[in-house]
Amino acid sequence: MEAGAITVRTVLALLLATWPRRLVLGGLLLVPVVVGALGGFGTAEPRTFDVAPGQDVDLGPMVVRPIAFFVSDETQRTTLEITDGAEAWLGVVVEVENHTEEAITLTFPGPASDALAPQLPAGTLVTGASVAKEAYRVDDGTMGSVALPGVRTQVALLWPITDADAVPDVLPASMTESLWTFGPMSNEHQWMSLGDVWHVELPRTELPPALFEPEEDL
Amino acid sequence: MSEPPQEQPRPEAEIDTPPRGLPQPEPAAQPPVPAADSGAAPGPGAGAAPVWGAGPPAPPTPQRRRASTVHVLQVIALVVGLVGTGWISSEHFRTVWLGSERDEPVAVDGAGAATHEGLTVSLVEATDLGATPSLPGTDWQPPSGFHAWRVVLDAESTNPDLFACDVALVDGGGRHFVANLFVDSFVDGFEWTFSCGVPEPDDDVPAQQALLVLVPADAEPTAVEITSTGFSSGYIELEID
Amino acid sequence: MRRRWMIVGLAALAVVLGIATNVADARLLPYGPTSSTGAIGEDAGAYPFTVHVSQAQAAHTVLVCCRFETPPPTGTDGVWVVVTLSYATADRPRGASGTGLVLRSADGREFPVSNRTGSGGWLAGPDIWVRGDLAFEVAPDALEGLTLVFDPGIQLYGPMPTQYARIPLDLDPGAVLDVIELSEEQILGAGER
Repeated sequence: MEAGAITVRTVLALLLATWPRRLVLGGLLLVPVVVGALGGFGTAEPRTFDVAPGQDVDLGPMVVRPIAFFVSDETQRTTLEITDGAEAWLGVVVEVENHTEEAITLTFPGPASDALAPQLPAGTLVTGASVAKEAYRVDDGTMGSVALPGVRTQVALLWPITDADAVPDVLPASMTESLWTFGPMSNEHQWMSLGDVWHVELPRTELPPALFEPEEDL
Repeated sequence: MSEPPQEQPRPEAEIDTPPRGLPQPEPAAQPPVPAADSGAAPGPGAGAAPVWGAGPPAPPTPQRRRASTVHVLQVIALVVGLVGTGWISSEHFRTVWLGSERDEPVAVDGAGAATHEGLTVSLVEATDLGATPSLPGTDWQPPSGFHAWRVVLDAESTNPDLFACDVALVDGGGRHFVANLFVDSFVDGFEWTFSCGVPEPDDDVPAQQALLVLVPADAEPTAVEITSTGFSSGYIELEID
Repeated sequence: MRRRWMIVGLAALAVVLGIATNVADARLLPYGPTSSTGAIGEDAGAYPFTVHVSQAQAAHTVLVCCRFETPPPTGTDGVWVVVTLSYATADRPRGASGTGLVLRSADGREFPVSNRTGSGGWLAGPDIWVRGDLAFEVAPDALEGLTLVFDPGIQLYGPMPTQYARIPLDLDPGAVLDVIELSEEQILGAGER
């Protein structure tokens, strides 16, 4: 063995050479015991809550107020026609307020991907993704796919569904909190839907008038 | 998802490995070296001082060869580390920048025609029509301070991947004035795009295609550049006489 | 003893260097020292673009332009900010992409070009200036202290900071018009902005 080589023994000897070092090391080893004795860091399981329709739910990046749902094929007819297997739209009317500093897209994976996921029998939603395919403003029927910082807006989130009759009169939906976490590998902050979950039972309503699209005469 | 893999400290594996990888001492092959010799050499003498050991300094043992092996390995590690760092940090330079810089125009033959990937183009004319050109079939005129230019190209293509190519007048400052942009698309006698593909039987593309270009009055175009996303590399540059 | 501290020092230096690099990478780029601050009525550089904001106004509704049938005024849950700007490039025709065009409020909130009016930036050429209107929807409390950020986002020379322009808009929160009609994009004569 070369003189001056760094081995387990020399490192241990260095760390345990004096009494202050031994005390610090012993203290470090005791940290988990102390944390455990004080009740630990909290449970890893997300909590679940029930929420009534019309109540604000703070999901982290944005506050979402679920209001009601509708089933209709009288809006966005062209998109519905070109979507394979789609018979009607499932629309969920929500009010959204973005509390971050940047715009959030409501129709693409990201902070909004699990913001509101309708619970329907398997195969009823045309796409497997929980995030809505389209979003339009309830007010005037124009594009509503972007939630701007500090602007509260009411939109209808639209999912294409295969069977309009498969939707019950009361629609259960789950809303998942997003956590703003730092990914050391990607070296950036990103939203991850891993927080608490709220369950809401949405009442059925009519298609908002501004979204109605008359049938085109061909 | 981007959480780092849990790195458990494994002192046995991490710290014990380097000595294990080193060549075993071969006392028989090592002739004893006088202590005075070792002390005279300034470099290795410092390296022999104990670092982590708590005990008294070990007597200078005759292990010159192993010490030099360690030094060689350290130098190799340093070189490998530096080369690796350089390789990673120069990725953009190697892949993008060098590639684009190597993009050079293809050669022009004696008759003024250039052939590139099945497309043969020659410049028939590049004419400054002035600030108030007479353009049939349109009311469009260049904005104040601009001239319209007419570029006529003779093209022949056997490349089935090409359909329309981009044509630009280039001036000495490297400014690219692209044909058919910022001008009226429907002027009699001018094409609305430069067709550079294999002609279909029912095409009515003339052999010589005239294109309209908007150029600032102060610009003096020196060349016509023909590019296409259908080219795997390179482009055609035809000088204006 | 001295060599031991040397190793400890080098290890600490490596860690500090790594943290500093990450922080610089995440925080300083591209919004580092590469911004050029302009003003309304001035040319501002954002190479390869030069940008000129001629006017900024706030309104409750906007009239979308250039449609076959003019739709009714488009409302918003916030406030519309219509920025009239022109730009040209230095080298070749380029379009300003919508992602690099935002209004930034004094408290750091960013509002992209609205996707509800059809215009999100247009093509301009080398010294060929093109003027048009960009419509943004912003939070009502953000009107004061808004800045247009024009970030070409083009890495001409590889992964390094690129120049972007910041142009404060100096909007009066009290002066919000009822309606603004968005104008069509226009190629400008030499010297016009």
